[in-house]
Amino acid sequence: MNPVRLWRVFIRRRNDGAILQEELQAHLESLTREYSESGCSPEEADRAARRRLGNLTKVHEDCRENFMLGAIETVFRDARYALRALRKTPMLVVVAALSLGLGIGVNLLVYSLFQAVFLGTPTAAEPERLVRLRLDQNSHTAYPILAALQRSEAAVAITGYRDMQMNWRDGDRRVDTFAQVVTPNFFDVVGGRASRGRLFGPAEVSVPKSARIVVISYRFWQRRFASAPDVLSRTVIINGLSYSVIGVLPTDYRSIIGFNVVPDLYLPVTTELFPNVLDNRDSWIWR
Amino acid sequence: MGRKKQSAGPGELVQGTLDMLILKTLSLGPMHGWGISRRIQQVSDEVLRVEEGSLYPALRRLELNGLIRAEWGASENNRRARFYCLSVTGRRQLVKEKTHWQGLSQAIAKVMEMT
Repeated sequence: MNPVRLWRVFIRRRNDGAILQEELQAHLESLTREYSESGCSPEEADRAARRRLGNLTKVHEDCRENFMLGAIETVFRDARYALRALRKTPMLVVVAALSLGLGIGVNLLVYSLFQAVFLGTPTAAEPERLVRLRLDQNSHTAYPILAALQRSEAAVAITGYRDMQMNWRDGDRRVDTFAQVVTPNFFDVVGGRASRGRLFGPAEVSVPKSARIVVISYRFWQRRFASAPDVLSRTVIINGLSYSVIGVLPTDYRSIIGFNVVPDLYLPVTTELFPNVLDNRDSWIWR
Repeated sequence: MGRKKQSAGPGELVQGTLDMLILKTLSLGPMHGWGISRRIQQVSDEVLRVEEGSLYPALRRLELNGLIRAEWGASENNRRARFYCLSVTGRRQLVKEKTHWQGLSQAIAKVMEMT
């Protein structure tokens, strides 16, 4: 459509209804006058004039058609009409929106639960080859047995971990944190990488040797360190001992626990943490 | 543009000629809607009756296409009325349509008079 015409349409369309109304009114009066001059009674003339003029609504509609801009405008008008209709029944709209929202929310929840519980695999080099071992129907195993198994040169790599609640000192506050204490080879066996810094391995830490190092989760770094970029030069005080932060796990790290639970801290097992680890019955889950 | 009846009775306008008639009428001077319909009816010896239902939409069409202009003025009985007058483009268009119409009606006449 050429722009001049478009401009005319825009300046004329708003008031055309009123203009037409006035024109038709004048037309009707002229017609009536003509009829009465030809000898009709006033009522007859009026009736005849109205009959002659026909359906005024139709005339209005036909005129309005000239100001239409095509299919898009019709769609907009339909949408406006729909909105007007909806405004008349606010309760219906609220109920519909709520039930839709609820439905979508529940659907999302179920799908993400399903994803987390049944489909999610932990972050690992070869998740399909990870196996959980149990001895004698026990969920946990003593560390010496684990160590003996590791030494036995079985064809598989074995690592162990233990979930613990630990105490992190934040200034003068003490915050309960969820830690996983793991054997030094944990990250080597399971796989994974750090988003910052590095992960520990058996080369730098072994059970009798105490190395106070910790790998923290992305969430912990974000929430407790406000994503501080210098986190790797910091130390954290856990259960009263200071540990150097050597790495941060990636944001999408999925622990072997599953259920989207990621421990805040990963600590290598040391005799400092568990003085009797080498001979007592502290329990370990291991792989 | 609804489908029209198949045969045009006396007084019913041939499709597409209304615009031309309006332009021609306005070429004689500014006129309001009522005046246009009256004038066409009178000049055609009451044969051509312009339906109001098509006159006013046609006036809008012509106005939006820039062929006629509309202004408020006072009618014979001193009422406010909307006067339409021909624009330059409208005058040109009238010449074109007139030529076309003459060619067409002569051609039809020739066909109808063949022996």
